[in-house]
Amino acid sequence: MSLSAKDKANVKSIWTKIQTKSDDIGEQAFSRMLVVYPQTKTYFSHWADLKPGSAQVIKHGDTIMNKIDECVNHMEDLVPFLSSLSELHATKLRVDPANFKFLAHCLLVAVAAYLPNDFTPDIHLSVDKFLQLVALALAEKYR
Amino acid sequence: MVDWTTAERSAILGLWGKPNADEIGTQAFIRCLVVFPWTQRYFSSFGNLSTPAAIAGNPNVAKHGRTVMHGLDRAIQNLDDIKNTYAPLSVMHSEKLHVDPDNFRLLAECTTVCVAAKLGPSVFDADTHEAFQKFLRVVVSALGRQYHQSGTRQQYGGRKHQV
Repeated sequence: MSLSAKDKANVKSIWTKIQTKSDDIGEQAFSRMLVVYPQTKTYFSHWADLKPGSAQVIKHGDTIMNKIDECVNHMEDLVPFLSSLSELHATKLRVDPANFKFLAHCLLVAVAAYLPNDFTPDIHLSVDKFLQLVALALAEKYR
Repeated sequence: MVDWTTAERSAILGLWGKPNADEIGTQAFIRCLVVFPWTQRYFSSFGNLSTPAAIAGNPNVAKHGRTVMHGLDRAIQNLDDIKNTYAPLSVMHSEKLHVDPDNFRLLAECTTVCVAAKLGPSVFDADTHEAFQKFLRVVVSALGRQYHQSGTRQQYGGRKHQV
């Protein structure tokens, strides 16, 4: 399900609004994933505190969100853009790629919560497709 | 039987009635038809579904969204026995409506997004979000539970027929 010109325009347009609350949205998305899908906590068993609001959770939510923000400018070349990150996830972190959709879903929920009037159904459709392609690009190096 | 913590039970019951069920039902169903367009396959009799605007303005869509959301009332009233409460509905969706049960999960996702949009991040906080998704997961599972080959068996006198 590749991105049409309309999808790309939709993603860029909602992202200018997301960028004004990027830290909050990133933190919410990541911390919600850990609460709503507790199996994802298994990848962070070395952290002291996995609760929403903890320093490590906030920092990691920011890290992830910043990268997704950058992906918006690389919708034409997601696979090469995410190549080294894919390598990291595949060979070192070994996160089961089935988990990417849980973070994507929590990001959609966070965007809806913070930008209810802007996150219309057709924008939701485009962002959902975009995040699926990001996940696919991230899984590229797995096998 | 599902294990609900006191906090989860209270979050779910507290949530019910906060957003308007009719409004959320309609919005969630519209969103599902737009975001996952293959779900439109079950609604060819609904009239114009050709654009997001057409879907949003379609009275049959609004009505059906409300019907489905009120179906959740039964689950709320029977939190400790959703599986059996939904058995007849599951049979209906399988044998009469022939709905792919993956669609229930898609509608559940859209419902969560609509509730989050309505309530905002402080009211629909992480713990409330978790409880609500767990509740929807149980409902989705109960709705998919009665999908099996029982029809085929009756038709061919007990022997499995391979098409």
